[in-house]
Amino acid sequence: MIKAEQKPIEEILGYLEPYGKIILSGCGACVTVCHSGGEKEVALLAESLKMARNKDAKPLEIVEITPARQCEPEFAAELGDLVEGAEAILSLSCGVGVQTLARTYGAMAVLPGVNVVFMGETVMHGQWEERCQACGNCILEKTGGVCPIARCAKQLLNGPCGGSSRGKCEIKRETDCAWQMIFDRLKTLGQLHKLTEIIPAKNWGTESRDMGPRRMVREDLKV
Amino acid sequence: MAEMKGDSQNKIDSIMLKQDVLIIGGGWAGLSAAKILARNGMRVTIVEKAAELGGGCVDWADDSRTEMRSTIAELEKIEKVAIMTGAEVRRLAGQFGSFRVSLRQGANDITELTPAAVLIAGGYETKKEAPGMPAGKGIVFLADLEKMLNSSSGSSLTLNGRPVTAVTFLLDLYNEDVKFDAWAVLRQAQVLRTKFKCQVFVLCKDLKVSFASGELLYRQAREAGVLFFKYEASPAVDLAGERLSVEIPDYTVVTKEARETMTLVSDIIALPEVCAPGSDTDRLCRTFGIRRELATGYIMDDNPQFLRVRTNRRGIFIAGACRSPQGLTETQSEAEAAAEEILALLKPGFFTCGPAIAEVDEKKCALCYTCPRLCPHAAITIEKYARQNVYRIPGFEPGAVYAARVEPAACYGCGICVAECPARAISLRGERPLLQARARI
Amino acid sequence: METGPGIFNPKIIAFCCEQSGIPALEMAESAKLELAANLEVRPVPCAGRIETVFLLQALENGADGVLVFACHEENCQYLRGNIRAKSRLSYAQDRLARIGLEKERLEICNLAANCGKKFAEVLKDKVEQLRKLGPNPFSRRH
Repeated sequence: MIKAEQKPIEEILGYLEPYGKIILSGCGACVTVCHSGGEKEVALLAESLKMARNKDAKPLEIVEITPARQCEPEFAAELGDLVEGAEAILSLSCGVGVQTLARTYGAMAVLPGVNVVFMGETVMHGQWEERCQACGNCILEKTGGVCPIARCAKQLLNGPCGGSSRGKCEIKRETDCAWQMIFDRLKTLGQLHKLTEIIPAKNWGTESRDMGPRRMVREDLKV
Repeated sequence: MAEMKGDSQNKIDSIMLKQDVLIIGGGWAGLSAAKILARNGMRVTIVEKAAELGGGCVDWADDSRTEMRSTIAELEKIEKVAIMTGAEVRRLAGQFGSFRVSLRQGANDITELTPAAVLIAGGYETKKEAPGMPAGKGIVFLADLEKMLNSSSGSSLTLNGRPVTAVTFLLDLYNEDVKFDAWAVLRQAQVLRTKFKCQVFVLCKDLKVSFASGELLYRQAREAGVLFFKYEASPAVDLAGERLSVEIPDYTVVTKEARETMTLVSDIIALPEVCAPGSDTDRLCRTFGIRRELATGYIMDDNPQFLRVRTNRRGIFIAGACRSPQGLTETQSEAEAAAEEILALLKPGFFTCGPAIAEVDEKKCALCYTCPRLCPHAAITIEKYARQNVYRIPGFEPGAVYAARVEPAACYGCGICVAECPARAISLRGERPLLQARARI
Repeated sequence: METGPGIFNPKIIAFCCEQSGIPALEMAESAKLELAANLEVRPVPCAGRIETVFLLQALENGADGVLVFACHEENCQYLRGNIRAKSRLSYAQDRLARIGLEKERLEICNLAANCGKKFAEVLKDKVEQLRKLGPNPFSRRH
C-alpha cells in the first residue's frame, strides 16, 4: 500500500499563510492505514494549525472532512458543499488524491499535507518498508519473491555487487542485501537454476516512467 | 451464545454461558482444579500432551504421589470429566462465550470443543546444566539426589563407589524467584544430616522460605546441624583430589579487608536443575492470544493486577508452574483460586457485558489491523459484515465487507482502541461523556 | 494558593485515570491538601482512552497546562494503556514543540492510587512552572 508521512508542520503553515479559511481533507484509505492522514490525523493537524495561528493572532478556520478516498471523481465531489467560502484545500491524501481534487476544484489551490514515501509492506506495527517501485514489468517470479528494483540500492538485476557483505548492503549497513535474500529464497524453493537466466537490462522508457506519465486503458470496460 | 450480526444498533447486553471448562495440562494444578470444578457440577475436559497424567511433581517422592493417584481415580469415576492424554490444542477461535477449540489426539483425530472457560495449567522444563562447574563425578542435580536418598537403604551414602561424608548445596546461581529449590534443598539437607550423618553446607544469596512451612523447614535444618552460608559473588568451585572444593569469603566478618577465604570440601556439589519455560510456551501463548513475560519467557506479565490466575483475556485463566516454577503448596493455592474464579464466572449461566463496550463503525473501518494488534484483551478480530461497503460508490450495490469487530463479552471497556483508531471508527458505548468535568468537593 | 487580582492562576486540565489518578485526587481532597486553584479534572477509565487530539483541544480551548495522571508502567490494569498514553503525549509534545509550544505545558505523571500527596505536589510544581511561562499564547482568543 502507499505509505506517506505528514509534512513538517512549519512547511504546511508556510503554505497556509495567505488563507483564513480552509478545508482539511483526509483520506480513508492508504494514509489512514499508516496513521498519517485519516480522520484522527486530520483532527490532530487541525488543532495544531489552529493553535499555531492563534499565537500569531491570525486565526485559521478549518473545515474537516475525510472521504473514503480522494482518487475517484465521485469521492472528490463529496467536498462540493463545503467548498463555498473556503479559500484553499489542504489534502492529506497521496499525490493522486491531491491532483484529483485540483482537477475537480480548478479555481482553488489544493495543497499537499503529506509526502508519499513509497509503496510498502508492514514489517511490524509502526514500521513500514519499501517493496515496490511500479517499474512496469514485474520480475518477482525470477527472484523468489524479492524485488531487486525496490530493495537493491543499485537496482541490479543479475546478482549482488562486490559490496554485499554478511547479507548487508554497502550503501546502508542496516539494509539487508536484496540479492542475498533472493539467493536464500531461491535456494529454499529449490529454484537456484533461475539465477542462470540472465535478466536483460530494463527498458525504463517503454516499461517504466522515463517517457513521461504512463497510461493504462481497458477499452472493454469503457462505458 | 449470542453472535453479532454486524448491526451496531443491536445492543447485546448479555451472553449465555455453558458450564463447560477446558483444562490444558494434567499435572497437579490441572487435576486439583478439575476436582473442584467437577465437584461443583462443571463439565471438565482435561487435555494432557504426555501419555500419562501427573506432570512434573512425579519426580519428587512425597505424599503428593499418593494424593495424585487418588485424585486421578476420583476424576476417572466422574462422568462429566473427560481426560485426553497424548492430546494437544491446535487452534482457538472465537471469544469468551464462543470459544471453539480444536484438538488433535494421536495421528488423526481432531475434536472440536466449545468451553465457556479455559484453564492453562501446563508445566515448565528443567535442564541439567552446570555452567562453570568442573567436569567431575561429584556434580549431582537435585532430582537425582532425591532418587539417591530414596533408594539408599542403610545409614551410609555412596557415590560411584566412594563414601559420601559431605555435601554442598549451591543455590541462587540461576533460577531467580524460584522457591521450589529452597524447599527441595531444606528437606534433602535434613535427611543427609539425620539419616546419613553427612556434613551439609548450604550456600545461597537469599534463602527463599516464603512458602508454607518454609521457615519451619529452615529451623529444623539448622537444628539438625546444617550449615548455611551467604555469598555475594559466585563462589569458585574446583576439584580437590577426588573431592570438590568451594571457596567463599567469610561474610560474618564485617570489614571487607579482614575477610578470610573459607574452603568447603565435599564429595557432592548438589545443584538445582535450570528452570526454563516449556518449549511450547510460545505456541501456547499465540494459540490462546495471551501474553508472554518478555524478560523470563513464562506466561503472563509480571503485572500485579494479574496475580495470580488471571490472564489478559476474559474466560482464560492460568495456574501453576507454567506461570512460574513453584512448589506444590503454591500450585495448590493457584489451582483452588483459578477454580473459584471460573465457578464465579460460569455458575450464573450468563455474563453481562459492559458497562462500557467498544464498537466499530464498519463503514469507516480501513482494515489497518491496528486495533486487533493493540487490544490488550485480544477482543477484536476482522470479520465480515453484511452491511454497506466502506468503499461504496454512489449507484453501486452494497455488498458484504470485512471490518474490525469487538466482541462485547470480551471487551473490558478500556478505550485504547477508540483512541488509537486512525479512522476514528470506534466509539465506547456506555462511557460517561469525557468532557464532563468532575465536581470538586 | 494565593488568589486575587493580579495573581495568575494557570488553568490546568488534568486527565485522571480512574485506577490511579482519581483515587489519588480523592485522597488529596480528603486530606485537605491544597490543590491548584484553577483545576479541571477529566476522569478516564484508563489513560489509554485519552486521544492525542484531546490534549491539543485542551490547550487550544484555554488551558495553560495539561497533565495526565496514569498508573506506573507494568501496573496498568489494561496492560498497555499507560504506555500508549505516554507515546501519544510524546507525539503531541514533539509536534507542538515545532510550533513553539513549551514542553512543560504538557506532561504525564505516573502514580498509584495511594499517592494523594504526590498528586498535590505535582500540581503545585506545575502551577509554579506555568506561572513562570505565563498564559498559553496558543489558546484561541475570544
